[in-house]
Amino acid sequence: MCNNQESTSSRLVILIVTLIVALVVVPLVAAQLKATVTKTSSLLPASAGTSPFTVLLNSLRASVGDTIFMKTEIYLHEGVNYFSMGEDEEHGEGHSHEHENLMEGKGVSFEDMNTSHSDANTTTSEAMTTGMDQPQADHRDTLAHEDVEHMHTVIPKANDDFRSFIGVLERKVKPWREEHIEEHGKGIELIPWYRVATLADPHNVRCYIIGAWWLASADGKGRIKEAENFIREGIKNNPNDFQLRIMLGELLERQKLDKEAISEFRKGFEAALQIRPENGILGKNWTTYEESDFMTAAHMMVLLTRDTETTEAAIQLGEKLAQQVPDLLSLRRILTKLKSASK
Amino acid sequence: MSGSQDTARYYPAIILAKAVIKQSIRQKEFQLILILMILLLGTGLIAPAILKNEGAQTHFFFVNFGLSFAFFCAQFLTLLAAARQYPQEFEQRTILPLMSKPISRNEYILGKWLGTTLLGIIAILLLVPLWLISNTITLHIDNDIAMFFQMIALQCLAIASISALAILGSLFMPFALNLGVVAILVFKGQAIGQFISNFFDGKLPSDATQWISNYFPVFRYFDLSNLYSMGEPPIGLSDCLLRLLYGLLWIAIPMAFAMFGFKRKAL
Repeated sequence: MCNNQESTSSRLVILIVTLIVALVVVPLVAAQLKATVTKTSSLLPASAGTSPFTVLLNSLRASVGDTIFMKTEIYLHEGVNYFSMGEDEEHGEGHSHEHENLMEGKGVSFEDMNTSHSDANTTTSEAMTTGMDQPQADHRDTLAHEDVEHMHTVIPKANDDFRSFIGVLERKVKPWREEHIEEHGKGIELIPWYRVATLADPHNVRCYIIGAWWLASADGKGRIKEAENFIREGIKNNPNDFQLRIMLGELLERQKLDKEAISEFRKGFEAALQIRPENGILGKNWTTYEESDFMTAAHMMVLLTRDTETTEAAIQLGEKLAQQVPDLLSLRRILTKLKSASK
Repeated sequence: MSGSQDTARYYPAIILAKAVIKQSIRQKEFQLILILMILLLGTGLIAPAILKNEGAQTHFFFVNFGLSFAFFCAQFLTLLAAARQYPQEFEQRTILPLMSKPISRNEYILGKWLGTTLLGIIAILLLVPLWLISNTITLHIDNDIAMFFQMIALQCLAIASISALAILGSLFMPFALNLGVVAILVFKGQAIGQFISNFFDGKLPSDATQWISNYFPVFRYFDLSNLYSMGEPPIGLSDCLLRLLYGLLWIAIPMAFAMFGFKRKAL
């Protein structure tokens, strides 16, 4: 009897100890282990920890995201996935500009997103439109024109087609664009697809940005909060991407949350500064889009500081930024305007 | 002979473990291992020769592929064997004559756990060297040997944890449900923890969500196959001991609950 009681009480003690260990020690050890493993992983090459299975599955996910993105692009471009040439050359060029505009600033035209600050000599939208240095803008136009001229098309251009009348026939018969869906071009219908694309590939930054842009422009101000949440999710999944930060800044600025917007622009600016080539030289990894976004962050920080604080504070901030990035001529132009306005 | 009799007298759990291994070898799971061995050996010998690319990526891919595959098979085999032990004996009523022998309930649980753990370890010891030998012939592997032993030791720990979890589950759940639940915990435990952490994000303080997510086992901590495949040196002593402690906790806690639960279970 006594033995039974002892046995029961010792069992109870063991159970309590086990429960305490399970509830307290396990999470503590797990947390410590997580910290240690993270620390160890940070010392390894970037490819470490990515098993071939992960790589294969990730590339599949990325492919799904990219395919959806391409489909949305085709839809936005009225169902045409290649540009017409010859008789439709003019359209093709326009199309290219449209595409370029869409893609400006990570697939989003910031001009459309800006709110004018009426009490200012220099508006934020001016900052966007005048944001790019003139030589760079000219260079971009030239590049766009050259792109169209040298673009490889599915159906060869008349002056580049050896097939004579067969080529002419094909150009006549093959539809360059589908007229019945010409009215498309609104991306609101595509919002669910951007959602799916980002679910498939949470690192598809373009889909986050364009999706958020369409959300924000969907029903006036009603869905800006949704757009903000969408972008915040993007930032959570891609904490190092500066373009998402800038987009979030834009959305906050539209909600008149200027202080928070400045903070996001600053984070975006600083993140961009880490990867921006010296003097902002354009290349494969730093295109006009990235440069444009970088400039946007700098301009918006200065202009919003002027709006929320004083022109002097904005000039002070602008000069500090200009010291950090001496080659940003557009910022100097804004500074000159601000200085002349403050006199 | 005398030594064997002593063992039988003092460690009925070991006898039970031997019975579990013998029984499992007679079943189809073990035959599956033999087929996998042939497949691995064949793939290990032929595939690198066909691809004719001895670059670092190919090397990494093949070593990692075989190891991941071998570990997965061993873990799944252990899970399958451990999850079916108690329900099978209970359904067939073979547990009654077994428990009528001089074997305590704790020893029964211990024996079942030991048997299924050893089965998983045997699977690892058959599959992994076979893969590495076939790869060494074709790819000339000379990765760190100390890292190899660390990797195998931690995998054995993972096998023991899986066995303990499956045995605990089998006392309270039907076979299929137990198999599903433990498989999710083992292969997706980290994802569940992350999901819960994200779900409560903003609703609870972040420390609290992190704490909750840590209740789910992360078997990735036992898997050093990526580091080994990359030719990395062994992990540090403190890191290794921490992983060891984590593994032991995930063995001890389910086993303690299983023993406690089985003591109170009506047969």
